[in-house]
Amino acid sequence: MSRRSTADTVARLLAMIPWIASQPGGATIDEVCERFSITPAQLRSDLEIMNVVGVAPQTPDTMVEVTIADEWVDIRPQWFTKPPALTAEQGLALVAAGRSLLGVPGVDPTGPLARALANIEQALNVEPGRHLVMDLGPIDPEIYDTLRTAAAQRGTVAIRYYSHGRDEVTERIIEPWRVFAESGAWYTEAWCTTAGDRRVFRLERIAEAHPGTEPATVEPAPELLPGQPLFTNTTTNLEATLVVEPVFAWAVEQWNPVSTEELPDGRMRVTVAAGSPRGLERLLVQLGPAATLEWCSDPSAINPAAVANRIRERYRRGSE
Amino acid sequence: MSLVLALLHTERPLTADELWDQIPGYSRIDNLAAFRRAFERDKDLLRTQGLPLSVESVPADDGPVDGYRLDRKQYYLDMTPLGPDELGALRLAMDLVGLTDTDSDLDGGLLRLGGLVDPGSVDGLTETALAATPVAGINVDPVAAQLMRAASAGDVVSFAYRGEQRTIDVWGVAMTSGHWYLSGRDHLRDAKRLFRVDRIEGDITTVAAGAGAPPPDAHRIGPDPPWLFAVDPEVEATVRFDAVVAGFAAGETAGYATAHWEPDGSVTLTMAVTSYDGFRWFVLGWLDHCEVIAPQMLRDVVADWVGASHE
Repeated sequence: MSRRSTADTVARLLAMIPWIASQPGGATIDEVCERFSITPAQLRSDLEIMNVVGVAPQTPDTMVEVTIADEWVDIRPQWFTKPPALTAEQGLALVAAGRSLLGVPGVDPTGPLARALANIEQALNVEPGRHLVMDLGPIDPEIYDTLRTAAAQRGTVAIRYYSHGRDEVTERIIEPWRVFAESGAWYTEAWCTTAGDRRVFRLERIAEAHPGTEPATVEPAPELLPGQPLFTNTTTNLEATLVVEPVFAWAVEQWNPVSTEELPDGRMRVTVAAGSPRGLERLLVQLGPAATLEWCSDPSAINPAAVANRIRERYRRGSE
Repeated sequence: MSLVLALLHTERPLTADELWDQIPGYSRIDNLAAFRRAFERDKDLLRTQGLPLSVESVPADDGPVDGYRLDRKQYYLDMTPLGPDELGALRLAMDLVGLTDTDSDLDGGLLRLGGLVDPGSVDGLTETALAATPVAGINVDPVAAQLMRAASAGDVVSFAYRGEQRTIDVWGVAMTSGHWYLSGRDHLRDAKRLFRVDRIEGDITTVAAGAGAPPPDAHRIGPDPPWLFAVDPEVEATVRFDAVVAGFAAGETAGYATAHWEPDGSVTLTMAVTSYDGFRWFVLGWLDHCEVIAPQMLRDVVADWVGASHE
């Protein structure tokens, strides 16, 4: 047996033996196989192992007692009466997944999931919100519900959307395909009838969402694979290299730079990909004198001085 | 399994020699090197299963040797068994939430709790299933797992971070913006600090039990927004946002600012600021859709920046 399958078998036995033993009068082979995701043949081979397990001096009365009859299996609960405690990772996986799902609007806050979590958290002595926080990002339940319903019923939604990258508000008719949370924000992937293309919208930038009367026209694209970029820059492919003062390292990080290099004087040379010229201008204005633009794939596309000028004008007016 | 049972039900630590004798699987091995290899492999296996294997010194003829046993108190799962509906709901959560980047056996936890129950077979889960949505990219980081355990135990831990050894009262871990963060009290600075868990260098060691209790505002264990990076004296800032971005700005600062709405749809936010650099970064992110009203000092921080950079 390979190391991996030995580990799997031991992990399964440690969990399965106490479960079977805890069932009054045993359990059907089918049920055990379903619960522990194995075939009847695997179960029989697992139970053969258990037949030779016992404590010293390994006499019949000190052995685990396994009975298999037709479709039925029973274990005398002499040993292994309870499963092992959860490992730290198993605990985190269960609580992180459970709390995340419980944070989705519409999920019953007092249902079986909430009850199971409360039970596990008590066993782990984990106080949610104090020892563990799952922050999926801000969400407006009504907007979420409108988009979810449209995605489920293949309908349309009229939205008013502020594009942060382009710094503009647009009104669009979209056909939502799916709604999901990733890296601390909620998104909907949709067919945008206004753009005539696939688009990903960030939910916190949707100011209004109203169900449309028209049915959707475009079949949903397959779900993105893990690691596949959310946004594909269909309109622009602008890249720039900046040299940034170290004090702004945290800010540059938010941009997920294409590359980062620390210079001997402590400054950082970063290359970023911008979704739009407005987005790059914004970054340059935010970094101001703390950054030098070394290179840009299309310098004619951007005019950060004009943007800075508009802001300066506003302050000048306000001071008068 | 015989090894687990022997270690679990012994009244004293068992030496390697005793285990070689007692365990049927080992007694077939006839040379010491082969037994040592098998025993080392099995100890590894017990540790990867998270079983509480303790090593104690045991007197022997030629001086003390290592003795082994499993701590019975720590070994067993101590909780009320979950019903099928609860197991089904947990499985649904494990299926819908994209847990990534892990070598660990994620179903292992469900198996220990009572096995895999088909969520479709559970009444009352339909609504949850319909409302549910994939949540992607949650990394089951073993270090975050270790730190969550340390938080619940109230441990003080020590680790290297940015080339410096830190000693921390662990308060909690938070998943935010796709990263795990640790929050706690940094002993050296005697102040709350946040650490990106993936930047912790090397191993984490538990220094002591009995970490100090977190302050009342420690429920915000995620990273602070940039204007609260706590480097400058606190001031109260007033910022006006045009109608076009008012709703988004109010949403982004929810919990950190009080909003006063104007009839024209614009909003004035009042907020505490403890980092002027971070505040300027936030304000300039809204370009010319917003304006710092007060105090004059922060107005200048923003206006000078755009003036100085592109004049």
